[in-house]
Amino acid sequence: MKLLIQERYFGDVHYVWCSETFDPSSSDQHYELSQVPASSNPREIGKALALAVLSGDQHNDHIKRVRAFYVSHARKLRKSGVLTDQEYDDLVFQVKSQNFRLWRPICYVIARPSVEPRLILVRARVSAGFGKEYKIADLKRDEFETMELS
Amino acid sequence: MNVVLSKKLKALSEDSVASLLERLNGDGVILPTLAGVIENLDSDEQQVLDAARGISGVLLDDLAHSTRARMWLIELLTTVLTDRVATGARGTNARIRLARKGWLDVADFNLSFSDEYRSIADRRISREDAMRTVREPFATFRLVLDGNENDLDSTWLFTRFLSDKLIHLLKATQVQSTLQISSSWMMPSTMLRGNAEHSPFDAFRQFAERYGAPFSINGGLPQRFAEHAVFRKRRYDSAAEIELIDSSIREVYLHSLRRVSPLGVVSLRMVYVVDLARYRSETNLPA
Repeated sequence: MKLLIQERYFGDVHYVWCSETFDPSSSDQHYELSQVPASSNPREIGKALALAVLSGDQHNDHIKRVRAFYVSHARKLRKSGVLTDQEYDDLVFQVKSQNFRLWRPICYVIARPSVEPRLILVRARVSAGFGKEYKIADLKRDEFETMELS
Repeated sequence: MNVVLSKKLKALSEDSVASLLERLNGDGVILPTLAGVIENLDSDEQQVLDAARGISGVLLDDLAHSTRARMWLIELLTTVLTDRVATGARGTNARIRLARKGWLDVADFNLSFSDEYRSIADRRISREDAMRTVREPFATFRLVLDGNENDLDSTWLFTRFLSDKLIHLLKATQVQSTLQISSSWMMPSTMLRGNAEHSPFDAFRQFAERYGAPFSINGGLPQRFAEHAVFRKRRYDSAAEIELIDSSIREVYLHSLRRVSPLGVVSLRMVYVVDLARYRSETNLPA
């Protein structure tokens, strides 16, 4: 869903949270890499989301939060004139789609060197654990590959 | 969702609801605490929060420290905003615009049944089953004439396994944001020759090969399924475009997508003729 919305309404520029490894729990426990907890572990998030989609779990908190983010963010962009009334309505209509499979997890594989200067270290206050987490506010479509998780 | 609450929130502006939602939800990552956030709301946001709390009885303390209470409020505010868009004229217009762009998910189309469907419907397949095939298909295929992706009135094909042995084939015509279900058949899944990852287009071809009546296009060779045929129609040409070879077959269902260019070039796609008597007898269906 996120990929689709960013492609269609935000010029194919993507806002992402990322981890340095796909599965931090598999890293050596003496290294900082392993200190990213399950709630920020891409593999664990993917597994939970895949299960939620498979079982049609409409009450999944992760999905609710992403949906809420897009609705409030779109309204803000509508207010500031970035989106038109119609674009706002279309976007909101799409995040409410009856096709729950649109929420299936897709992992973005990003080559670090090209985005290094734009990595934003997540503040400890909102970070899930001691391991480093990053945000990228303007990831372009040619800077990552997608991988379906099932 | 609490209906009374939604009515009360209806009086508040979408911007205020969205603004509070953003404060509670940030960029989609739940904060460990909202202490320091809910104490500093502006007056519009405070009004929304009061309206929500007034009905639900959620305490400020709960909101500050309980993830569950916050998620409840986040979901509520999201629903208030999405419901305003998805229902009524705004929803109808959004659906039409998305369909026009080819962005409307197949699950979000309105569904209806055509008169044609009513006359040939296979009674073993209920309307609920037919709608389920559209909403939860195994595979879908959008057929556009002459590769025109922007063609709004295109044809959609769907398949869904009814059981290990039976597969449901369904055809619907897109009219703006409505999918009008026009025909629905079933056939043994063994006819897919073990190809579970089939395309519905190929499933229809197999179906036509089995239950179809031979026909010729513009006087050409007999066939049971034509993927695409193009020919020039002359003004005084009396030959039938599609002619049934065996005239003793009385009851048929003919499908073709037809377009004629300004120069008189006829383009036909996905032509097949179902021999209804054969279909009924071989699938043990009363006439």
